[in-house]
Amino acid sequence: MTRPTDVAIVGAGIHAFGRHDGLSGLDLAEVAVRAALADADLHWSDIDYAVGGSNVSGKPDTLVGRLGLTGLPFITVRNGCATGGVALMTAAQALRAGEAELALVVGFDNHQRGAFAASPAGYGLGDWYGESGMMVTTQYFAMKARRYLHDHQISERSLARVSAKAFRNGAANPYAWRRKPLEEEEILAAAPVSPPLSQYMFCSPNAGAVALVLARSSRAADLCQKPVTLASIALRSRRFGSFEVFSPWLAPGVRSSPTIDAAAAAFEIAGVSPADVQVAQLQDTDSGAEIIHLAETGLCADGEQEELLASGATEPGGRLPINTDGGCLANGEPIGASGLRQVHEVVRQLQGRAPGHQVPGGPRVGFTHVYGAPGISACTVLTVP
Amino acid sequence: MSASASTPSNTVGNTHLNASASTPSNTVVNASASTPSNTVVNASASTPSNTVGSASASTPSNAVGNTRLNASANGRVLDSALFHVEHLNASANARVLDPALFQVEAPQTGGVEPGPSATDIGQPPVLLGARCEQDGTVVFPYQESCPRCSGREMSELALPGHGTLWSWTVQHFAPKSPYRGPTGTDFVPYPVGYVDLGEVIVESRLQIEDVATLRIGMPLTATWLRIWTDAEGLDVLTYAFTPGEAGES
Repeated sequence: MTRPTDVAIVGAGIHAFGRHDGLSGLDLAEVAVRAALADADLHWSDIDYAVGGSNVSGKPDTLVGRLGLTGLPFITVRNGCATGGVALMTAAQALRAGEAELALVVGFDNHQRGAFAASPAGYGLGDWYGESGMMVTTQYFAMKARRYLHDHQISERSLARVSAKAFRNGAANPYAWRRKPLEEEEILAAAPVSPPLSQYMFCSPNAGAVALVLARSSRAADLCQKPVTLASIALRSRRFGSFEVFSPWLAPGVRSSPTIDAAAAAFEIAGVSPADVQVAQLQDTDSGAEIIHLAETGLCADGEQEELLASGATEPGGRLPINTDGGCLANGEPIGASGLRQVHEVVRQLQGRAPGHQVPGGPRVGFTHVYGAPGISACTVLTVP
Repeated sequence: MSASASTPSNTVGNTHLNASASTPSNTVVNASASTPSNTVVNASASTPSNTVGSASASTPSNAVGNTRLNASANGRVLDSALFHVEHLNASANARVLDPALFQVEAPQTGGVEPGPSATDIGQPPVLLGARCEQDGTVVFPYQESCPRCSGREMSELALPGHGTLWSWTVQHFAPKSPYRGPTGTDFVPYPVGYVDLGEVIVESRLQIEDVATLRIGMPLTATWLRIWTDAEGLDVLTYAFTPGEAGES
């Protein structure tokens, strides 16, 4: 089902996620780039187009000073949580347009500890919003999760099941940050951050980098033993009625979401159905987000998550494996790298060489989903023959 | 639902109050009657004084039950642009956080009588939103254009003071800057929520004795909440919602 305009991922590299206080974001990025090039058995001078993204950790295009001053076009993108997705989309578009033969994508960040601080003015809000203590991302995730659980009769234990799964998967993944399994009871009893979410139900900002090498599908087979086709990538911003972070008001009775739109577009472009997906990475900024996004992406119906989680269907060996590398919960969230980490994991799963738990049976269709402020989402469908 | 107190009749006269106004004293807008009671609400749970404030029956506008925000002896609202108020007085010891959050009936230029209590506010706050003249979309705070249809015909709308709890959480750690409430060892976890006012769902601090009693769907009513006391000794006030049915005071 490869089309002439298809783009394939022929190399992937990652710097382990975690706390890397002695290293800059650019240091991490260089490690990931060299790993991706080695994976594709290519040299930096072979690359004729590059796209890099970081939210707060330096100018990606300065990497040419470390990798080689070849004069290639190097696009820098900065698009919040969708940074990695936008970088990947930009590179894919250049390949499809015939502007390049081999493109490199890199995303990285090295964040300070603690929750992200945000400026009201940067979001078009008055200072009162932050001054009165409502401009806190964790509040948003908690209130969105609480309302969703209420509307669809999902138990708070499901939140703990998501986290327990993430830490189990993270424990098996050498690139993950939190690698200690936790029991559901420990997670439920942990210190509250924003109820119903406890400290083990949130991911934290940290450090990491991911790089991918892309080629047009016509060349991919020469470069890689098992190239993975980027069957689609779709990016959407929010429409009226979506419930987003930093919202002083919401519209009653309307439901929309950039995730619903981006996922639907990604499936349509790829010509596959959500039911075809055999492994998926979903944005799990908190455990409630994974539950909500399971339905918003079309992978299950609203309310079905309770049974899916309780029955183990979303475990690596289940019928719908979700966040097999531990997701954001176990990997943390270096914003510029996070979306590309999902792609890295699905590429490895489809190639049958996952660093951690490998989904059995040779999965052929994978899906990734990033989502973030202020209401943006990017989804990909990845396939192998 | 209790938000039925809101109704188009709450629509405020069309005078546009500059949403970016930073001065606490403002033009008059309105005569809407969304709060039947004149009872004073103490704006600050931490203040011992609970004396009745200056919402005296002698105020002419009280005849139509208007909200009166009299930031008296030592209180001010966090952002007056959020509120619809009859009088927005910032006297010696009080100010609103952002005038654009409020709507004001009459300018108070000097001669403001301080209330008998440090932090009393005459009436519960009435938030100032906007309604799109083209598609009816209601937003908060006031903004110049409609996020749904892109139209620029927005009229001011006094939002109902009663609603139901739509969702909630508790903030268990002190937020980073620009948060101005107590931090460090003075920090106390506080509840926040979304309150369904019928035509719009508004995010708000919540004031409740025991967060374990919070339930989605519970009736809430608007009140004042002190966020901090500024360098001049003024209590800085914002809106909050607290348990209560429409008609209670």
